[in-house]
Amino acid sequence: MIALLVMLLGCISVGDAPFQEGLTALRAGDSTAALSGFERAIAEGARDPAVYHGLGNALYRLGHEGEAVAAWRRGLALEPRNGDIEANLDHVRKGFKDRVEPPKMHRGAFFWQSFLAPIETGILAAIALALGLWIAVLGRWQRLRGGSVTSSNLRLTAGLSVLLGGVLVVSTVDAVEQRRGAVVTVDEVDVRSALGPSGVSLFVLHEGAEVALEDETETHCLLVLSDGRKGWVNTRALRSTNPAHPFVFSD
Amino acid sequence: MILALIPMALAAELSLQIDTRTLVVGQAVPLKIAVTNGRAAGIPELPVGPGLLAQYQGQSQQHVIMNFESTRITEYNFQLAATQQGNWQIGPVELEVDGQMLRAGPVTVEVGAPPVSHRGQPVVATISDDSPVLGQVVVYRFQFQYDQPLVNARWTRPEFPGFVEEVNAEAVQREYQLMQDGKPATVQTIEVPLVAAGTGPQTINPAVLTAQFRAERQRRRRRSMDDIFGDSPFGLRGSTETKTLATEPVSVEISSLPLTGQPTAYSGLVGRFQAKLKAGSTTVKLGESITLEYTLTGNGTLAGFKVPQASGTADFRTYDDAPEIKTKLMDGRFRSRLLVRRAVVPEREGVITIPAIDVTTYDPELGQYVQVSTAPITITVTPGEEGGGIVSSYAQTGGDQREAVASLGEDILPVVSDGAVRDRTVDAAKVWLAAIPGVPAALWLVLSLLGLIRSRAPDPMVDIRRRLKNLPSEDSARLQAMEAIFRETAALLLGVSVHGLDGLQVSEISEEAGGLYSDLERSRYGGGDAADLESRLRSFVGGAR
Repeated sequence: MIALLVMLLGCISVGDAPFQEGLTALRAGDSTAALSGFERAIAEGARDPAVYHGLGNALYRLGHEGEAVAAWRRGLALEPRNGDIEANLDHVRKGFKDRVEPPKMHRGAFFWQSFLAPIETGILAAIALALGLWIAVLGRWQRLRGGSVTSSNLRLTAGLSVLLGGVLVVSTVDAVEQRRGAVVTVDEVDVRSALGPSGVSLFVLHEGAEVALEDETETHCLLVLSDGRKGWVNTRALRSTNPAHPFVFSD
Repeated sequence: MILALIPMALAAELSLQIDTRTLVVGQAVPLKIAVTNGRAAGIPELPVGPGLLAQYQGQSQQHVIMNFESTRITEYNFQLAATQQGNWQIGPVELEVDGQMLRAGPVTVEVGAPPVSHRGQPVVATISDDSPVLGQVVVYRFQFQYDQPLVNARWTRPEFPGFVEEVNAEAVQREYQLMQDGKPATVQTIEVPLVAAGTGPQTINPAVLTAQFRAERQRRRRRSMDDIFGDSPFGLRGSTETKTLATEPVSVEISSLPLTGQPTAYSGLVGRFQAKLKAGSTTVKLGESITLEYTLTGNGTLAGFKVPQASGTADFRTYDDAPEIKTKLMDGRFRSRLLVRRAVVPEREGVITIPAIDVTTYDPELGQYVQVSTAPITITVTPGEEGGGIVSSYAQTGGDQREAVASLGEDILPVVSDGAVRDRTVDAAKVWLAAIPGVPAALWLVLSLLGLIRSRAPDPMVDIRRRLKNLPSEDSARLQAMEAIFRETAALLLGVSVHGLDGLQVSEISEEAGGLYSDLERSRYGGGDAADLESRLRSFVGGAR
């Protein structure tokens, strides 16, 4: 039912043609053309796990492993159950220089985030809220017609539905917020204690290091490693893992 | 007599006894040369280093009987005074006892700096280095010198901005007596090891000490209970003087480590260090291990330091124990020592060289990065017991012989797509997501408003009064309207239906209402005064609530 609703909600397919072009080029071994196709698909609004999967594969074939990780992370954020993307990430992480744990994709309290995409939790939230509200509408209608008041069981169901819907709304917002991550895409970057060159170099990160972002300015990001270390780095050295962000690769 | 013979049978001993091994310049301590169970010929000579002065004070003798054994001890007492800073040796002492030459081994004492004098202030705060670099260990020293009888003293520790306390060391408190300007004085010191953690100028606020001295009596008076109890708590009442003493603030300028020329392998250590690598044995059988001891000593903090691993080689494997860190603080000097035991398991026979361990540190005295290295160690690995060191021999013992699944041509997984792609972000679907609960929410709102409107029914008396104001002009219609108004008002007052209303019920409201009802009935059939009825009806309706 959720899959059906997902399909209904996104029934307007976008970026189909460039995606197919990218897929065909990727299968033919032309990674540059594939990259172009997938980028156009994303620019047209096709923020789909398959597109990001293909984009990551094309970037990996072209030797840009950091960018590939960012693309796959975006795909996984949209479809946490996609084992293929997860396998690709595991494969490429082994070759990176920095042994840093990638930021967690979900919170312990919202365990369902590990297998439900934010759009799916959003739909469940909408359904739960709608169920509770429809029961409330029924009760109100009966009262207007002078009929009997709604039974306590029905009122309890409505209350629980609204409560569940509220929790799922919070979970959805949290899942979207947790995408404030990024991947280092340059060979080596200094992480500094302050914005710009005035800061002291705290540590060095290398391509493929996956970090969480705590703060962002126009030019710099405050990143946090899984061991708690944090520092500022130029935005140009990072690629966001938020699938809603644009993805324009320039070699 | 038997008891007297026993000591003759016991061997004589000679020993050198001193209470403390750490002194400061100007301090004097007692020292004893003890001869146990023997009779010495003459007074022993006590050779001391040039920084010490020993003066003979006399001798004493005692007998101790314990468990039916008698011990005779002859003590030669000396007064030892420290005159110069440094490590000085006392002894060895040689003495002829009962015709036999006995020897007491030498003792080394460390003589530290004398108490700091600052314009005669009783409390002084100093720091071992007022311009340290980031990560350097400095020692904050608080000194309290007094020559009056002290009852109690309490020190308030200041904040140390720009510093953190050394995690492996604790503050050290010390007290000693010395002669100064011919007068005895007591000195108490508290030393706190600190690590510079923030750059720039820093100021350590004054440390405050609250001390209670026994007040000196100005004139002789009668012997009181206070005099009898002396220092006892009973004697404190009314005879103490409390003073609050504060040091000067201490200014420090902490500079950062030079970034230019900083080696990539810089370990983070700041200070002057020496390293040593020692092997328990240089010959080992294959399959067995030897233990190396790596020692790093210096004057910097070793917190968080990890000993580098030997560079990758297939000749041996290493396993490290947890490091042992010891620290010592004395007269403003901080010493640290790290010991790591590393087990080395050779993997082949023959001569194996264990490479040197190199650690890059920053030496603040030299102002540059230096490499502290050990010497490489060569060990000889002899053939071991049968099968020793050969892991494959365990494969024949019935253990788990499975191998890990080998990956052949490992690669990334391709895209498996159904061809249709869409925007799967929450942002793209938020209109739909809002609409699903939004429709019933809107409907519920509309129904709620409807119910609210319905529940607000108009007041019937308002309508009645309006009709009373606008009575028809034509007589019969006017009368009919007045009767209807009366009936509706009466029905409202009685809470009954208009249709079932009769005279009996109306008379329950009031006698006047009953009369009005009868007159209205009569008027309908041509009797009564309509003008009077109207005024009576207005009065009735006006009084209705």
